[in-house]
Amino acid sequence: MEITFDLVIIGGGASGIAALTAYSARNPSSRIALVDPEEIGFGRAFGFADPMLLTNTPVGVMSLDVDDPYDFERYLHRRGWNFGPDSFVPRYLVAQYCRERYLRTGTMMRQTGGEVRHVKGRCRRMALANGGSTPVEVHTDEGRVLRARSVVLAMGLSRRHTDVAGSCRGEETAVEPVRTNPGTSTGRVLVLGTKLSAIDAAVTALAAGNDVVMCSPSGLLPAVRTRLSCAPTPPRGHNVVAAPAIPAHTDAAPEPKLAEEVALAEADQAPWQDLVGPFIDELNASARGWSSADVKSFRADHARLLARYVSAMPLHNARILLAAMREGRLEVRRGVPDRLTHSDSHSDVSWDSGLTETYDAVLNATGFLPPTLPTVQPGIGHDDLVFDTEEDGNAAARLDIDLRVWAGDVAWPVWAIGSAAHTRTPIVNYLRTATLQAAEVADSILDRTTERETYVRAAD
Amino acid sequence: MSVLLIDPVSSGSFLAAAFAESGAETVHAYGTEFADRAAADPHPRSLVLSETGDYAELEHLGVTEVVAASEFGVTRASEIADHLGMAHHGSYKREARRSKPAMQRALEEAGVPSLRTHEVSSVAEAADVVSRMNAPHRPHIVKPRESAGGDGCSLVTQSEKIVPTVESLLGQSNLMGQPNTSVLIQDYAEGPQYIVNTVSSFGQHYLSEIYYEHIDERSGSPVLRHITSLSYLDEDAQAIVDYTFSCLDALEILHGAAHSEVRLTPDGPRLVEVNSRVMGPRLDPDPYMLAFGYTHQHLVVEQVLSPTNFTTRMSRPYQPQATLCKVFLRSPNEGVLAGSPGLETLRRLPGFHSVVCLPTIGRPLQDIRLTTAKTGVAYFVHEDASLIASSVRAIHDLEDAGEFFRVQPCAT
Repeated sequence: MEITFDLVIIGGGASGIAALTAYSARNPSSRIALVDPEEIGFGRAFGFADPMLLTNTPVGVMSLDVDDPYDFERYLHRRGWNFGPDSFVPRYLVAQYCRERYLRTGTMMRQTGGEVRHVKGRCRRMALANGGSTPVEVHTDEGRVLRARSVVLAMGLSRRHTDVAGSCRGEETAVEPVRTNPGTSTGRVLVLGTKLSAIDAAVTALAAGNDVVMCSPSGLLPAVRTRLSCAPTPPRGHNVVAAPAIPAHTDAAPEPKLAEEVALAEADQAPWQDLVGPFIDELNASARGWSSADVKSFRADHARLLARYVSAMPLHNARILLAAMREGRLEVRRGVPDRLTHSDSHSDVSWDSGLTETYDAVLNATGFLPPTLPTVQPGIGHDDLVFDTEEDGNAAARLDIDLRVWAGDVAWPVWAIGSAAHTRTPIVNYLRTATLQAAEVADSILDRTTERETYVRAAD
Repeated sequence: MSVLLIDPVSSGSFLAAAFAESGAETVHAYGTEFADRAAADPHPRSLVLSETGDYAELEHLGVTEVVAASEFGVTRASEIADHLGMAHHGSYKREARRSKPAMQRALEEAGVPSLRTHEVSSVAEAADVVSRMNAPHRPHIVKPRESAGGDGCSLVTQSEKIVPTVESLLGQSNLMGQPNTSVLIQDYAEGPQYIVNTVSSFGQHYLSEIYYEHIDERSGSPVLRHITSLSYLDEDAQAIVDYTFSCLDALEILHGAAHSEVRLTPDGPRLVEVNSRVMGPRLDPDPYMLAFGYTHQHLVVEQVLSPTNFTTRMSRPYQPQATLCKVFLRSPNEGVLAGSPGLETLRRLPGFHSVVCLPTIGRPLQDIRLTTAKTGVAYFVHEDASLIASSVRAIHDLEDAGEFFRVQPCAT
């Protein structure tokens, strides 16, 4: 069965809703489909129900509508929540916000003759049809074919790191430490990782009464933030980006280091954090002109800065970790295990120091990889783009500086935002990045580029 | 017309209220075990039935309809209706409508797939049942015969534990304060469990509501966390409804409400039990009205007082306008209630409708694992089932973390 849409959005998480919000505001009588195997709005980033798990960025930068930066804050206030722009809130509230915005958009569009539809499934292939007003065919894994004028790729983070380090390669363990016995102590948990995903895992495991060891090659926790502000207006140019002035890294032991950073944050003596929001916006805008190799090497060159300060942890989580350290319930280690052996009841863990330990659970919390762009696979059809294919000989599609997909020398009416735009965007794990991109892309689709600064088109 | 409501306790009080709203003349009749409830009932015509039935008095009161208003009144209502010559369920299957083993046998006789259920009243009988099992390693549900709200219900995965479990239940006081004189051993069926509420008229059944039951296991016992109504009948749901109707036929349920629990096993639907009365333990009408446009108890009132209207309704398909979720609020820990901070979150969540039966601050929590509604019931109603599911997951996480109810250990 073939169905026709003005826009098909691949992915129904927060980035997908940002795309929906931006496009529907500009073209409310259009027909839009969101393709996702799960319910719309409850993506991986915010779909957790556990009220313990807070967002890592505050309310003030999480509006789905770049033209209305107070939308999320107002949504919360209307439900009675007393959160301000600097509040870090339970993640499920963001998911519910996304869901309610999706529902509301559907209602508003119906009133103007438009439509929003959820097509359950995964996009497996896209093909360019010859001529016509809906040149893209979107094929789902359930055999549906959607014909679209334009497509936005808004797939979030979905592929888990499996190369944890060294001989732990390929370990796949649950990231969520589920409370198997609510209210009771369940034992000892090893968390692989020390960044934000790992902190979520550790906070949840500690709350369930476990003792926790976190480990990573650096053994470094992120810095502690109490806020994250963005510049009053979105960046509009490609300025030279200067790294913010940040405290020098020290090799202090985890507990005194964390205690110092908690104290500074509590005393509002962490001025570096006010630079982070504008830095991200400016960096992402400036990097549009970079090649994907430049973006990749920027991330590698500044990995520690990004992990420590761009992906800083909220004070709330820092206090939980510090209290657990002081109680002797949390240890943060530099290094990764040499060997993991799982049985039904426990895991044996060997370290390069010769130490061998037993854990009740090992959680791979090393985060997620960005989605791969679809691959050009001419063998299937004329210039088809295929998802989830990494066979040799198939070239990945590229993004130009307007985040438009190019396959060979053909510009497709397909754009990428959020994590899907990672080859053009150094910092993508940030909802504001997706909302800024969603507005730009909506303008591009509707040919409103004159309102924006014109970039030189330059595919890699 | 005067309607005799037998034992209007538990959710039966909501049925009595629905009849009262309609302006119908009713008589509230209680068994002797509920004499205190009869004395406290402000209804002008309430009485305690003697063991002999008081049929002459009931005729004198002009009773024209008899309705079982709770599980306790199911058999009594059937007997009285027979004596007074009034329309009721088939008397031949009276025992099968109360006794779970007889219920399953009745299904078997009617050719309806069923779960084997044994009733034992001694350890020796339990041992005999176990020794005759064809597949002793399959899990079983063991529970008191007079069980309600999950009281004493255990999932036993090893056959050698069936006899000790039976032994631990026999003689113990049940929810009604009576000693358990017999225990049921029922085949455990894998698969999701559903509630099917119906109202029947002259053997034709009408689907009032169908719910998915979210059941957790705590210390070997099933614990009901919430039920969520289905907004439409897919193939599986239609199969469950059709199967339930065949169970009602096998049990000769002809008039009034029934509340059935059915598991959807890999072999198809299997009846856990039918209760020929309205669903318990509470039926606060407003959330049901919002979701369905009616309640289980108001449909019974319509079937009794306005049978023509009810017949018209029976031709209409199941089409609720919103999803209803009923959450049985729980604390993971026993103790004295020090506060209920989770209520603030609950009341702000999308889809929240109301919360009732909240436990009292400063008092020990009761029945933290049973479905007696003593630790509160929250209702959610919304057109979007996903949003409700998100809200309910957040509440359960708060409950399980001990952050919904704060409790302090009871003083010893």
